[in-house]
Amino acid sequence: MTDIADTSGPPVDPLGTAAAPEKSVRGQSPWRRVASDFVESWVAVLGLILLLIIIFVAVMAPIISPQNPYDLNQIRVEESRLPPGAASMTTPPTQDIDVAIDPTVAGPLSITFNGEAPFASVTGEATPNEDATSIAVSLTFDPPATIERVARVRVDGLPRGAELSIGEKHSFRSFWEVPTEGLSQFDITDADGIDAPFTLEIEAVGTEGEVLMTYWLGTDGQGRDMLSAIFYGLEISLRVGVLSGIFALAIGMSMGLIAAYYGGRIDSVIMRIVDIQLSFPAILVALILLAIIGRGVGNVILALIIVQWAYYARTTRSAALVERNKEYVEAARCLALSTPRVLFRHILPNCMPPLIVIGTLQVANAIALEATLSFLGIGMPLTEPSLGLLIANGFDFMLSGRYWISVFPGVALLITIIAINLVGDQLRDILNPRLRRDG
Amino acid sequence: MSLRKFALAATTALVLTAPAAWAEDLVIAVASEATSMDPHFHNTGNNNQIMRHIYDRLINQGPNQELLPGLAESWGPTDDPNVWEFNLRQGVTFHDGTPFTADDVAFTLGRAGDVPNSPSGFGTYTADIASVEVIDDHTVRIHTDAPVPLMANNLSTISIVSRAHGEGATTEQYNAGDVAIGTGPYRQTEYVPGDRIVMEANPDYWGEAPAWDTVTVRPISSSASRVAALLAGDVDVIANVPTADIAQLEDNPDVSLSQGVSNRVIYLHLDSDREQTPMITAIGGGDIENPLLDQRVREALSLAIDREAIVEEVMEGIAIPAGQLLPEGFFGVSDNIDVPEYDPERAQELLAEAGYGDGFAVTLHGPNDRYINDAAVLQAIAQMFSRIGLETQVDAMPRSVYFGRASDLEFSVMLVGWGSGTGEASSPLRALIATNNPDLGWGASNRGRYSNPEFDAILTEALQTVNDAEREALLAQATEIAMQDIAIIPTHFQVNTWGTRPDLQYIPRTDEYTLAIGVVPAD
Repeated sequence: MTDIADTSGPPVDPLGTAAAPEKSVRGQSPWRRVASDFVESWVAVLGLILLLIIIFVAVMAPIISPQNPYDLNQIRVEESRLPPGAASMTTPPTQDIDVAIDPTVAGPLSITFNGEAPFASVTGEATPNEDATSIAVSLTFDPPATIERVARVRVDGLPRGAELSIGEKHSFRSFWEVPTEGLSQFDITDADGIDAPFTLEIEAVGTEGEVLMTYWLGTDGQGRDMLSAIFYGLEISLRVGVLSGIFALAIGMSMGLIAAYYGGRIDSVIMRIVDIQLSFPAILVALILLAIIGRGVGNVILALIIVQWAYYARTTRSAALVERNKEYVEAARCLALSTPRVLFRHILPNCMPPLIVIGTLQVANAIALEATLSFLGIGMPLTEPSLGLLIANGFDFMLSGRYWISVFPGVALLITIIAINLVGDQLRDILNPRLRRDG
Repeated sequence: MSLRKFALAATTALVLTAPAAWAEDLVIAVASEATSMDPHFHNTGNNNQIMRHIYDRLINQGPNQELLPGLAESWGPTDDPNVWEFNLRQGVTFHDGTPFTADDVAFTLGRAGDVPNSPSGFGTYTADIASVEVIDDHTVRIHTDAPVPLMANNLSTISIVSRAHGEGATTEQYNAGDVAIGTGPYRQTEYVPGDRIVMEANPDYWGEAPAWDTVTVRPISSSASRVAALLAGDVDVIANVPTADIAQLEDNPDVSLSQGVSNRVIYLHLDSDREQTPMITAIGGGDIENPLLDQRVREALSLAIDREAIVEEVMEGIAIPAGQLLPEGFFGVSDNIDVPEYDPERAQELLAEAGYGDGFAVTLHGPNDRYINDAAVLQAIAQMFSRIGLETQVDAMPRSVYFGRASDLEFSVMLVGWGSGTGEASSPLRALIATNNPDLGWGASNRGRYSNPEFDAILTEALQTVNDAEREALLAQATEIAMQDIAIIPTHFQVNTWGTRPDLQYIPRTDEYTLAIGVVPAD
């Protein structure tokens, strides 16, 4: 800050209408001055760079995302909850091998199977014991069953009560989970005797699958690529934040200007509406609105406009009240310029600095609000998750250690809001004369 | 008189393994709270499980919904198949000390189906009763117009209240606790909606002495919070352990898990009645004739669902793929129905045959706070429908909104679940698939309005067949017709998981109820 007592320095300009002389260049435009002031803080510059990257990612999301996370045809629930860095594979080959067993007949078995892998052929024979309480089955696989080729084997279709000599029965389902190697020789036993023919259903899942892509940030509970979902989510967040900000600004600004310019009853009415609106928490108003009009991007934007315009109206009015009584406005009026022209061409430009600041910060607020609404389950549709909904979905998986579903979208949201706030803070510093660092 | 005697000894060992009192307070956290303390107001699991503590039924249901003697020591049809006789237990007193008599039974059966403003009452279970005859203080005869073989199953759902208190009593009075007088092992002491229900041991209980001094049931709707409350020691038992956490909790020495198959099937109901259906349009909009009228389209939707993937991925293995209305082992299940194999190619062929080769646009509806992972299941099904060329959207909503709208037939394809209250197949067949007929109480939850006279005829016959084996065969046959027609599309059976302190365990129940009586020391 400039030391006011330092008389040797240049004269202080309390309104900040001119930059410090050593940096000032005659004819420098206000925008260039703002820019040069802005870069004084490296934190703000970092924020701006982050923000630009985020905007780039959001705008380019459909091009740079490995997957369209909103296309149900592209996501596969079979690949849900994969950790970061996991590969997306084609479905591994699966074979259903049906082995018809007759407890009264010993000898070769009739075996049908479908699919071309992991096995080319299976033959086998069964040897029931005398009282048919146990049947020894031997199966010959070509190529032999090995761990490298077979990922999982399940055996189903046993007579109720019968047991396999290999593997373990699932705790509540009817199939047995069987180790790959044991598949060539096993017994089926039932102390009560096996009296009717049955068909053993063997499901062998191979391991070969082709790598399609890598899920760098893992997948969510529906098999959605988190990286793509975050890119698309950023796009929704920014779209909602910016669009609702622009419309709220336009409405709020107009109302504020009208209130300040006309004063009296119009001012009272508008400002009381603003007061009433501001006395309710924004989230409450938005919740009620969305409960009535339903979810969806358009509705969220609408709700956020209704929630936010009051902030802009109040800010504009206070700024316009100061400007309204200045000589240049009087001069404009004396020239018999139309009211809209005085309002929008003369008063408004001089109210812009605080509006820019409020606008930036409100965009961050709107993004946070949208995320909150989605988190509560009334924002975006389920199949088009925004960051808030992604975080909410991941919340269910936090206790089980699958942090990535919640944490990564959370970090993305955090960075976005911090970046906007850093930029907004710096804008406030340089546009607010009282906080200006002129030294 | 040929009464089929049910000896007390038949009471399963399971229930009796509970030790005598170990004098402690038990806190149970459930996912959703009871809507009322009136035992006859709302027939829903959240309410019924509370009522099982405070009231007795003539006939109780064990953990697998097997029938056990309750306030009736023995029962059965008399020589006249239209008359059932119940021999009541002697020496039972209500919580206020007055004796329980046949008159209370007569009063209860009159009240159960006749509670004002009841959102779904017990009328289905009492509708068959023509009159109740009190023979003496401990004998009751129930007269019906036709044989009702399921009388015992039906009555095993109805809480017996006291006439002295219940006469003219309103639901509000039950909520306030003034008239909530039963004969059950626990007494209602406090009911704070949204926060807790507190019950204390009934020292004069006729059966096994209650094991806990007080039982507090708290609703904690967030799964994560429920698990956290158990881990923190705030509660002793939680219902509905979320599937995502089960693997983790299995390795946690501070928690013991109990798991059991439920009688609840999760299924898609399809609007197979109206010419136009509200939630299906041509791709890109535009009205089309309701494709679900075509049996081939319904079959295509069924084949398009990879039930194994839903169970393995969405339910993380904690469910059973379903091809009919009850899991194997239940009464009336057909052995001839396999779980439909996932076959998207065949599904597309069927769609093309039906003239929908280019697909159509459909919005799936379901609740997001009722069944285990309901919204996630719905999204997975949407994915699978997209794979056969349908343009699919998902709208999941809170149950408070959902069920009302579903019953108003606002949806075309909806995810619903049904637990068989009687523990056998006639319950879902009658409620979900029978032609909607409010007078008979049939098809009350038939939100797709499927109607097949052949099916109705077989079900009617089944419900009047006293011979168990014949009735079971008829129920299986009715099930086969319904599944052949794709009246509904079953996806999976729920498997429930309870979490307890490590020194306790829970005896899993197929009816999904969480009961203090089922909480026993770990072995």
